[in-house]
Amino acid sequence: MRESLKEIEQKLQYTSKDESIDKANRKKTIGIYLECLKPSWKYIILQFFLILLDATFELMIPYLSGLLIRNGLEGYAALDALGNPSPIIYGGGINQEAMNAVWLYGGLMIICALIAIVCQAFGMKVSAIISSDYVERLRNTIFWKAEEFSFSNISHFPVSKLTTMLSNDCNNIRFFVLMLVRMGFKQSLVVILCFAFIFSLNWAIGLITLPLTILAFSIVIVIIRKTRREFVMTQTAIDNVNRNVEEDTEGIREVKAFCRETHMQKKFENTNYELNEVTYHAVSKMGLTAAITTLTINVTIGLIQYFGGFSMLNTAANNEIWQIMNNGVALFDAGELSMLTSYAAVLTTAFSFLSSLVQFYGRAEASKERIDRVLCEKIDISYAPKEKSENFDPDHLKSGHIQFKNVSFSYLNDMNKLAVGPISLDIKEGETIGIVGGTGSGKSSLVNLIPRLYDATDGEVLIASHNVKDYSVRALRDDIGVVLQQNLLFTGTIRSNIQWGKKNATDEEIWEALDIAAAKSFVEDFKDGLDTPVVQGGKSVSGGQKQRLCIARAVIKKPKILILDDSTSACDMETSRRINANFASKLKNTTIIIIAQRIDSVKDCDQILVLDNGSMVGLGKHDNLIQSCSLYRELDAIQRKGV
Amino acid sequence: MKFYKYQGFKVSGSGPILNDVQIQFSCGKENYQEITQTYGKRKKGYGKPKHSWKALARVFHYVSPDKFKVLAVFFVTIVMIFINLVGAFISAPLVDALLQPAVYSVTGNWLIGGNYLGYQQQVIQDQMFFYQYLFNTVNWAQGGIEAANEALNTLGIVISIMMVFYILAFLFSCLQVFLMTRIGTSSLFRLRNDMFAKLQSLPLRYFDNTSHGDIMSRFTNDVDAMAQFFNTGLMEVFTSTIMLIGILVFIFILNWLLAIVALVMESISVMIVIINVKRSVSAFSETQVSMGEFNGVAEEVLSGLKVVKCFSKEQDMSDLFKSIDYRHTMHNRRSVFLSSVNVPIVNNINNLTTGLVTIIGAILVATGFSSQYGFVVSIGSLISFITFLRMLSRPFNSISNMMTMIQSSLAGAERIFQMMDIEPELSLNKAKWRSYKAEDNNFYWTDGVTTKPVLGQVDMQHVYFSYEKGQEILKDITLYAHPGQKIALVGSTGAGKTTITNLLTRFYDIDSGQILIDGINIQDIDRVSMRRSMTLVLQDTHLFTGTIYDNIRYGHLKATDADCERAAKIACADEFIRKLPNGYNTVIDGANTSLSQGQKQLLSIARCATFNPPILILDEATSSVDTRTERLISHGMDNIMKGKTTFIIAHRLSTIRYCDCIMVMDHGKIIERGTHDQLLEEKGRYYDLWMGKVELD
Repeated sequence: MRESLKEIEQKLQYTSKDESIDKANRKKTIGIYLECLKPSWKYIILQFFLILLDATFELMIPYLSGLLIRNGLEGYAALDALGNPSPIIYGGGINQEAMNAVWLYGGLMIICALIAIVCQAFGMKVSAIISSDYVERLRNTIFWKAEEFSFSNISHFPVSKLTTMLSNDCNNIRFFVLMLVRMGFKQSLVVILCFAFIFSLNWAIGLITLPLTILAFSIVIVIIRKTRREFVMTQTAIDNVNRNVEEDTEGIREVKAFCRETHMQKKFENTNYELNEVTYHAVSKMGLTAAITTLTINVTIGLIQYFGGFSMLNTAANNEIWQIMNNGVALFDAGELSMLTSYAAVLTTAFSFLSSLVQFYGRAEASKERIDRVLCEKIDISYAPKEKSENFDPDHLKSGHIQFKNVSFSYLNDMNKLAVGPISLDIKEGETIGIVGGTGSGKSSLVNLIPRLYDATDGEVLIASHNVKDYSVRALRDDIGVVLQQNLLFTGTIRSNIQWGKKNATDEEIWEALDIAAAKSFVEDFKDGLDTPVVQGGKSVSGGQKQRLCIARAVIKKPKILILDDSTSACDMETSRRINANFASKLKNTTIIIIAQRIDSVKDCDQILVLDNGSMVGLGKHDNLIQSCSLYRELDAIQRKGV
Repeated sequence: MKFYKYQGFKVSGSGPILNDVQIQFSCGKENYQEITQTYGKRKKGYGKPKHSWKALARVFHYVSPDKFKVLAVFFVTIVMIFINLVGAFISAPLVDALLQPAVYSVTGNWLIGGNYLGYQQQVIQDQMFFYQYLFNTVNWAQGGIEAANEALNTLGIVISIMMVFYILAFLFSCLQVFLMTRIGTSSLFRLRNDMFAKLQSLPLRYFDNTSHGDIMSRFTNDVDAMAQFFNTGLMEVFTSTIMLIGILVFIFILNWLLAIVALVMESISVMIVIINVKRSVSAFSETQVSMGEFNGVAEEVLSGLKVVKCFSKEQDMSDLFKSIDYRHTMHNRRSVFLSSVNVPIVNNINNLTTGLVTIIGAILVATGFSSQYGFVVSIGSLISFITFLRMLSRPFNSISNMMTMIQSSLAGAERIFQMMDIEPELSLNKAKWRSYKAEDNNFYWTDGVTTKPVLGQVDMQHVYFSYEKGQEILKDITLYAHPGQKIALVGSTGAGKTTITNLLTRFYDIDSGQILIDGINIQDIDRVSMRRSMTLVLQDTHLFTGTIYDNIRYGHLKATDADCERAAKIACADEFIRKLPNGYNTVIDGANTSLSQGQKQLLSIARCATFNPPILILDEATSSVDTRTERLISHGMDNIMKGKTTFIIAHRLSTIRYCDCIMVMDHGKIIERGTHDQLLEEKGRYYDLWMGKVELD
């Protein structure tokens, strides 16, 4: 049983809550969008002039062709002695004066067309520049904003969403801006000029045309506004379809292993059907706008023909009222009729361009809403370092002395559950502390509080007796080395990656850091040494090698505090022991925090912290903990004996 | 005055901060050059897309089920366009046969022909028949205002009839829109369904060799390009083509000499358009490539944002991004310009043509030659000829606009059909053996004649296998597992452990040797039956959108809620599931789930517990579960494994300690085999691993 449209719509509709968020965001971001447009002001002015010229010359053409018909073909340029025109009659021979008018106006038409080509082509270029530059700025701004995200902000936006935002959504906006400066300017100008021409020719016909076109335009706008909701739904439906594909691709082994192909196909076909129905309704309604425009053109032209007929006869009969309507000109002829019908046609096409602009606006608006979510995301970590004073420099950590005072922490999405704490802890300068515990016991969350990757919910974290919030970002980043659990190398070379820790580091320094991280030997074995290319994510080196390079990258900073979050898990025992020994001998004054799965890696630490469910269940040296902490003992036993 | 000193707005670097957002401008040309020096220009690999029109023909294959609708649309469009063309044409006879004579009649001054008879002879006679007809509806002999009023009445009647036709045309075009959209969307619907079905039938080799981003992009970007074509392009092209043909027919009937003049002029614009489309397509693909580049950088930086932040590299990365964005913008400017410059050319060459045709037409009419070429013998008919020329610009415009779009959708179609043309997994309908689950909940093999229970005896005999020809992954693997045995596979990444499971599940087929299950060669077993007799728990467990129940039930669709809960309890997943906001009814949202990798693995174990098949494959099934939890579930696992042949792959040696047989693999070979104690005694590779001397990677 397939769902009805109503059911589908209910499923895909977005809530009023989303709508209010979008509304609030709109107010905040409008300035940003305008600010990005400002630097293109010269081009915009240029574009405006080009369009002015272009529109005028283009609209001259129907006027000229009207004059050509009247003065040339109908012979009003060559009046005979009685004041009668001498029209070009079939086989009537060439009347030189009338023919001159034909040459004149025909020539002018061709010249106007040529000027219009140049203006328009130039305008196309300028509008391409405006829109591309505009979106470049917007994209750079979004990227910067995304880079400013704190760790908890990042989790709200999957990377795939952000990258599609930078390409697709920005592209939608670019397209709208392009159409706005190209079509929006021009067609509104054309509409105004057209009405000016029509009213100057015959205001009665103008009065007929005006309401008709406005009526048609408003109907079109109403349709477009109404379909907007449906287009939003279409987007949701597309997302659903894509998610199905993604799931199937990611989980293909499971799908095949459990023989669930038909099940998945059914699921996919259902979402696909939803997409199909919603798109049909949205697109077909949108398609009606073109039909309405055509109807308006035809009806308007028909009315102009009929009314023009009246005008012609009545002005011919010297009817005064008709003459007034025809702006005092006694004559209403075929030439004028052709001008009026041409302008009516131009007018309606201009309106259809404008309505398609509204269409593009709808698409751009949906994209803008998505971008607004990013631009308005509140960054929850802000830096307000204390003023520099005699005994406090916010840009440097004086020592690696860390204190936790009743610190507790919970993640924003789960405020009720404490991820850590409350914990009080004192780590002296130069000490090495190990942290062990099961997955989800809060090890990483705890250490993330030190360099302010997250902020403590309660209590305070002190470094060298000052709250971490008093320091500047520079101090926290330059003087604290962090090796994260999920660590990455970036496209480049080994050298460029190590230099992340210290810009312009010399080869000597790099080798020293590699030596400490026990990475020197294998880098030396690479044919290109430090210039060995690294691909995205560091997939070209093995897991253990990657971890060691990441350690070297942090060590080269010569940090006061070094945090290693499960960062030797892929190395063998020998290597990880060697790294620890290097730390002990070469980084004497550095406070080192080691998170590990293996008891073995933290055995020799000055202190070992045992965490369970976010709270401290043991603190001390290995030998003490074996005695006093049951969890520690258990972990040790499991790892010795196996399950 | 301040304004006088105004230097303009800042263009490069960064702008003001608004609402916590720092505006970033372009990096500017100079910075771009500087940055490219630091980071090196990224390579330019702009492939030119090749478009085969074959792809288009195949696209229409998806339209064909709607052939009656297509026929209807064809009919409707022709009628609609005919009405519109007649509407445009009608002004000529109206002017020539009614209005002009009426004016002469009112003024009493027949400028042409002297009187109405002369007028008829000079203007009406050589025209098409309905000139004559219209002219004769009025009794011109009565002269003066009466004749004029009569003419006006006829005019009113004709225009009213036309109005009716216009409304009819409107209804028809609405009908056309509905039909056409229906055709478009349902063709896409069929295409997507087909693509998905095809995707699922593809061998695992495809998924392993193709990046998932690429597969996704075929479903999103390429189908999107096709969707544009189907949803708007198809109708536009269809209508425009018919309209173009219609107009050409009309103007050739009207006067073929003038029509040829017009055609020559228009073909100039067509030529310019074709050249332009070629250039703009290559510019477009440049833009796409550079867009891919900044997407790549953005993806790399944003997915490594945590690292970027730890090293305060935000500014550097932003500079890098800006430089690539700058280059993209330069390409973009060019491609946008090229793709749009057609419109003014087409439009204005049309205007030019109008001017030219009028002049030539006027001469032709005046000299009396025009009747040799057709019907343009009066001002009125010249006007309607010009009107047609003006109308000609619309289909030309939209077709030239569509060209770029069609090109990109063709590129999309090509990529789609590339995927559709890949050989699917061999269908095994003819396979001899099938399995079924009997009412006693046991599995049986049957080849239609004999039936025997599925025991789970697995033999691999001298198996050789390579993913790519020439690079053997498995060499001469011989192993056997008796029913109920636990076999462990140990070795570094690339040693071939996972490959063995890939062969057992027949995700891949072996090169030589044979694999037997209960003595039956797996080549003779129906693939679905094969897979039904075993269960797989993977390292990267994948959950599907749906509730927890749905996900556990994935293993066995008939499982009741109670079954699922029981399975979850065995897998130690019950505890955390109950802590979730909606317990077992919590909806998991595919990728964005907040479950940890370890929790996912527990669910996957529960999933396998519902099904209970005779063979079990655990590929790093508990790698993300911490050692303590692993120990907790080990009891449950023992329950699940009881009586089943189990293959266990594990990184953590503690996991496999109690297996019946441990195989140590290296470079596609089994180098050691035996129980834990035996292997320790051997003091070989396993001993080194166990003692932590060698790195397992």
